[in-house]
Amino acid sequence: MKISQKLKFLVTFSNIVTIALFLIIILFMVRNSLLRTLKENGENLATMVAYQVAPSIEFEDTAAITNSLQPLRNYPNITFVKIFGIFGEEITSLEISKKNAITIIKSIESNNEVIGGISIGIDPSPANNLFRTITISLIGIGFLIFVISFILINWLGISITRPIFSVTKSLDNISHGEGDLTQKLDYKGKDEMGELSNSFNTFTDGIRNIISNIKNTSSEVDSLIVGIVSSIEELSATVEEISANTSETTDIVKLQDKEINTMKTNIDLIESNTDNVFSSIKDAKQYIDEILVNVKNGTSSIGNVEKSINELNRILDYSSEKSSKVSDISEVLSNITENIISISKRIDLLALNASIEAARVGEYGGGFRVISEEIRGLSFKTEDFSTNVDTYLTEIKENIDQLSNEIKNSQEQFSKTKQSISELTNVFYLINDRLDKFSNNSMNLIFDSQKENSKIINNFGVKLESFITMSKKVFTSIEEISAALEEETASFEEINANSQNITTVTKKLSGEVKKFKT
Amino acid sequence: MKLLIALIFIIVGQVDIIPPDLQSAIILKTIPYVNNFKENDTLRIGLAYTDINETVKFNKYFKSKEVKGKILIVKRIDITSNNSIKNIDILLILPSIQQKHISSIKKDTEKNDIFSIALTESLKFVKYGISMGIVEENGKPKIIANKDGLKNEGISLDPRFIKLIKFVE
Repeated sequence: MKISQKLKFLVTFSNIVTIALFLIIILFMVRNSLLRTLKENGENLATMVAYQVAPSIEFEDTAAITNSLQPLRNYPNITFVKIFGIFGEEITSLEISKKNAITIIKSIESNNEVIGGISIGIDPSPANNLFRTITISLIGIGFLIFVISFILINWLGISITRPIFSVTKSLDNISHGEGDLTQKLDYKGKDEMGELSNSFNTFTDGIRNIISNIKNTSSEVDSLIVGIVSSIEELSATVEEISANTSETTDIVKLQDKEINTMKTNIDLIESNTDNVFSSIKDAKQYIDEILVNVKNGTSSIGNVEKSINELNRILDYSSEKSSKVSDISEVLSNITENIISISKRIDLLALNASIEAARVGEYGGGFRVISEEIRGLSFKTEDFSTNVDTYLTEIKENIDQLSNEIKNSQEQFSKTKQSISELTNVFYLINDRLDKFSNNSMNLIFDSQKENSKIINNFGVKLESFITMSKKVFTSIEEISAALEEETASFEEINANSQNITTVTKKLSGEVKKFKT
Repeated sequence: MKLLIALIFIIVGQVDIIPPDLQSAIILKTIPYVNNFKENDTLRIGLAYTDINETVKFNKYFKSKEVKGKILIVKRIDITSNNSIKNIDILLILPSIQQKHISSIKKDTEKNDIFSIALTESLKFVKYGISMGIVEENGKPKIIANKDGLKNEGISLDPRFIKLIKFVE
């Protein structure tokens, strides 16, 4: 369907719709007006009747009510009148005709109180007839408007589409002229189509100039593309060379990566060993500390032993002194015993003499003889006893002398032991001193050195990790470069192919452009 | 042509025939026949609306009226406010109420034992479950009621009044 036909259809359709809507609105307004008039008339009549019958309803005078309704028979268009109570109970009614009616209901009031209602039926046929007449008239007018507007639309349509047809025809001629840009639109009207023709002619002039320029530049582009193709070929070769180098570098980096991984494993091993050494040194230091504590305890114990020996020595000295004193005393006692024995012997001699004297006296010296004999017995006993004491004292003295000798020997042994303990103490002091120095200086030095080594190994490990990461990045970058180079090569090949295509297209374009008459 | 006229009359002719003053008078006369309200000294009447202007007219018909010694108290109820309907005895459904509001109204009236009466679209609303309404029949007003509606709202009517009613389902 052509644009002109579409326009005509659109305008006709909108015209029909507009007229139809206009008619419907008018009809609604007319209908409402008629209905309102009917209702108003009915309500006025109902109000009037309600006013008349209200007193009769109040007094329940049905006859009076019926009489009041009779004049309504003369009113035109009334079909019935009904008077009813509040609940719709019918009081009276007047039926005039059986036609269909519009019902109007009004309340009946007495002393401002609703006491019932009235309904009036109104025949709507006169209003309907009037409405029908108006509707027919309006439809007729609408049809007339439609016919006139249709003619006007057609006339306007032709006047609008004529220049379009003219311009279309000219354009058709130009399009069949196979690029003849010298042709012009010859429509000279002052309307939009005239402006369109002028614009089109100006446009073709511009196109003609552009085509001319294209012709000139086309050959230039052709030669440039040849240059580009050769450059691309050179670049492609370079890229291939770079690609080969990159591949070699990739292999080296892979090898390097492998070696670095081995190194990393070894460093991990060293790190583990270092940790073990570190742990062993820690244990050793702990043991040395424990030995130091034990050596100190030993030294302290030796000191105690030395003190005990000194005390024993002192006791032995004292014992020796006391034993020599006891020896002296035993000697004194021995002398005393000898004196006692001597005394005893002298007493014995005296007792013997006394006995002799008593015997000489006779019977008078009997008592004295008994006493001298008892003393002589005592003297013997004392002598025996003193001899025994002397024997024991001699024995004691000998034992004490032996003991004294033994004590002296012990003292000598104690002196030697003391000297040995003193030497042992010195050795312990020396060990303590050396261990102390070893623990505090050498072990700490080893410990610190080990710590430092551990740190260095850790740092080295971290650096190596970083180096591995970097190596991986380099590897990735090289792979990316390689991929990019491959893409680049592909792109170059594509560009090369496109350049060749452009050359072909340019040649074709050049051939086509040459067809235009400029 | 006749069809067009009939169509136009059907579309535009849907109006309430029974005038509001007559409807109000019928409701006032109905109150003594509702057994539920026999002991009440006051009756609280709710006017359900969506357009407050229409309540002015109906308020005039009920406000401060006395029915058989019972004082009427009128309360306006905006259905769009989402508040539940309660603390009233009778609910009058004014013309601005549409069918979409009826289900929520019914829910509240049944829950709170409120006597619902339609003053508009009576036949449709009573069939939908509203207890009572007033329609035009043979040119006269006719009280219609829904048995289930009355039962659900707990309304008991005097047998003398029941004789005047037409029940619809």
